[in-house]
Amino acid sequence: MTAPGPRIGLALGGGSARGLAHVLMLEAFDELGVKPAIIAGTSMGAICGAAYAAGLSGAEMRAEFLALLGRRRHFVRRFAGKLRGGFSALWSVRAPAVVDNVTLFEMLLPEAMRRDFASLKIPFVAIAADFYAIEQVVLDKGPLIPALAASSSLPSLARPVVIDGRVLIDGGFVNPVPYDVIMDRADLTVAVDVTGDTKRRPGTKIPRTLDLLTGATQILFHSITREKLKSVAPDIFIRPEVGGFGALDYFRIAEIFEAAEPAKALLKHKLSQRLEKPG
Amino acid sequence: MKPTGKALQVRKQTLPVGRPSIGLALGGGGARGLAHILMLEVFDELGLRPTVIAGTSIGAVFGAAYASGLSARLIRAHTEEVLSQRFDTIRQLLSARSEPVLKILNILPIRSALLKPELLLEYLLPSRMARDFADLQIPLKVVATDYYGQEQVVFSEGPLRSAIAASMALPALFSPVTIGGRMFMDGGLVNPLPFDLIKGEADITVAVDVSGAPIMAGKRAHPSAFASLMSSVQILQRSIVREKLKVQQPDVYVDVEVDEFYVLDFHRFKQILATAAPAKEQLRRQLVRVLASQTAETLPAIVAPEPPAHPPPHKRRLPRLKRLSRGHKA
Repeated sequence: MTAPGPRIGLALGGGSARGLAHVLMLEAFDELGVKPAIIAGTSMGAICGAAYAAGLSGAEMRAEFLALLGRRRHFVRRFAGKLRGGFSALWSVRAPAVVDNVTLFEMLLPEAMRRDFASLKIPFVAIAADFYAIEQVVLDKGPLIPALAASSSLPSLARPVVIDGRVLIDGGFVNPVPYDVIMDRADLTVAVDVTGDTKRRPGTKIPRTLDLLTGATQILFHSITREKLKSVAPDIFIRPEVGGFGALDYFRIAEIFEAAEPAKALLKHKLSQRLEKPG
Repeated sequence: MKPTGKALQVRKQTLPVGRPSIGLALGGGGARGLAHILMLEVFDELGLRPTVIAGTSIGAVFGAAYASGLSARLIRAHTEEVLSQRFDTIRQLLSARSEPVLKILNILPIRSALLKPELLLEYLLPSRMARDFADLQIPLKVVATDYYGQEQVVFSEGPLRSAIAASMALPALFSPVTIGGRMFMDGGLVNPLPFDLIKGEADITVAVDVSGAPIMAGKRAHPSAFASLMSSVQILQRSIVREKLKVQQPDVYVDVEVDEFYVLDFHRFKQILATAAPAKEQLRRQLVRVLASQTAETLPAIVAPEPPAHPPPHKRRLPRLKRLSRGHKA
C-alpha cells in the first residue's frame, strides 16, 4: 500500500473534544490514498491515531464516533449498558470526581483497539507525561488501552495510569503536538494541532471560572507548541479552527466535524503538493 | 545607583573599567517565588545591579520592588512583616481557597468568588514602591497573558501596579485584569521564565526558575486530585521553559529547588527561604564565575565605547514574530 514516496510521519495532538477534528485529517489521507509510515499521538490524538493504526479508516472512525456521541441519549444508554461494575468501577472512591480511563476505554473503544502495539498495522507511539519526573514518556509497546488511557488522563478529571512504576498523566502537558518524536523516522512530517486557533473572539467579558481555567490551560498548551516551533518545525502544520469548542464539548461532534472541513481541504492540498514534487 | 564599596576581590581584579551589564529574569511560581528575595540579596551583596529586569507573576512583584530602588534586605523585611501580620486576612482568604480549588471546579458557574489582584497588591507592596514604570531606577519588563488574544504582552511603561496585577492574575484564584480594553491573566501561561525578553539587552542574562516540580506525597503513588491539579500547571510551565531552553539559554540559570511548596504556601515564608538558601549560593558562585570570564573576553570591546547610561526605550510589546522567524530553521 505504501507507494515508493516519502515516508510520512503523522503527529496528532491533544485537545479532548476538539481532537475529534483528527478524524477528518485521517479521511484526507484515505482520500489521497496515502498511508503514514508512522503515527504519534497525544491524548485524543493518541486515541484517533491508534484507531487508524489499528486499521480503522477515517470514514469508519467518523461513523464510530457519531454512533457513540451523535445523540446524547444514545451515549447514555450505551454507556449505562456497558457499566457492569456500576459506577464504582469508573469513579474512584478515594479521589472523587476522578474517572478511571482504563475502565472507560475498555468499555467504549472498538474491539480492534483492545490489542497490543505490536499488532498495529502502522507503527504508532503514544505520548504521556511522567508526573513526578516531569518528562515525556514515549509509549510504543505492550497493551494499547493503558497507554491510551495514560496519554489522555487529564489530571483532576481522570486518574493517572501507572505503567512500569511510573505515574503517567496526559501527554499534552509535555508535548501537545508530538511531531518532534517521529521526525527521524519520516521524510515528511505532518502535525495536527487541535488546541484551537490562537485567536478567540476578543472581548473583556470575564468568563466563568471553569472557562477561565480551561482557557488558561489551552494557552499553556499553545505556549509549549509555540516555543517548540522555534527550535524544530514539521513540514506541514495544520491547525483546525476548533478553538470555539470547549474541551468537553463531545456532544457537539457534528459542529466540530464541520469546523474542521477547511483544515481537511488545506491538508489535502498541502499534502498532494508535497507528494507531487519531491524534495 | 553608585556601586557599593564592598567590592569583591574578583571585581577589583577583572572589572577595572566597564563591567558587563546584567539582565535579570525572575520567573513565576506563586509562593515559591519568595525565593527571589534571596537572589536579589546576592546582587546587593556582590554590589552588582542589573541593568534590566524581566519578571513574570511573583517575579514581577519582586522585580518591581527591586527596580524601585528598594534593597533586598528591605524587601525581605517588608515581605516578612506583611506575611506575618498584615497578611492575616489575606492569608485566610488564600488558604480558604487553596484546598477547595476542586470545589470551584465542581460548583462550576462561580464567577464572583475571585480575588482582585490589584487589591491584594495594595496590601502587599511597600508604600515606597514606584507607581509608574517611568519612576523605576532599573528598566522593567512585566509579562502578562492576553487571555482572548492568547499571547504574551510585555508591559514596560505606564502604571506599574495594574501591570503587576495583570502579571499575577492566576486563573481560578484571581479575577483577570482589564487594561486598555484587553483582559489579562498570569504571565506564566505564556512565559514563565522571561529571560528571552532581555537577552539582547545585557551582556549577561541571569534567569531564576522557581516553578518547582511535583513531589511524591507520602507512600501513595497516585497524587490526589488536588495535588495533580496544582502540579499540572507546574508541569506545563516546565515544558514551556524546557522548549525555550532548546532555542536559547541564559548565561546563568538557577533552578531553585522549592519543590515541596504549593503555589499558595505564602505562610511558609521561612521554610521557603531556608530551602532556597543553596540556590542563593549557587547563584553567587555562577555570577562571580561568569562575570570573570565575560570580562576577560570582552574587555577590549567594553573599554572602547562607553556603556549607554540609559538602555534604549522599550516598546510596549516585543516583536515576537521577528524572534520566531529568527529562531526558525527552514
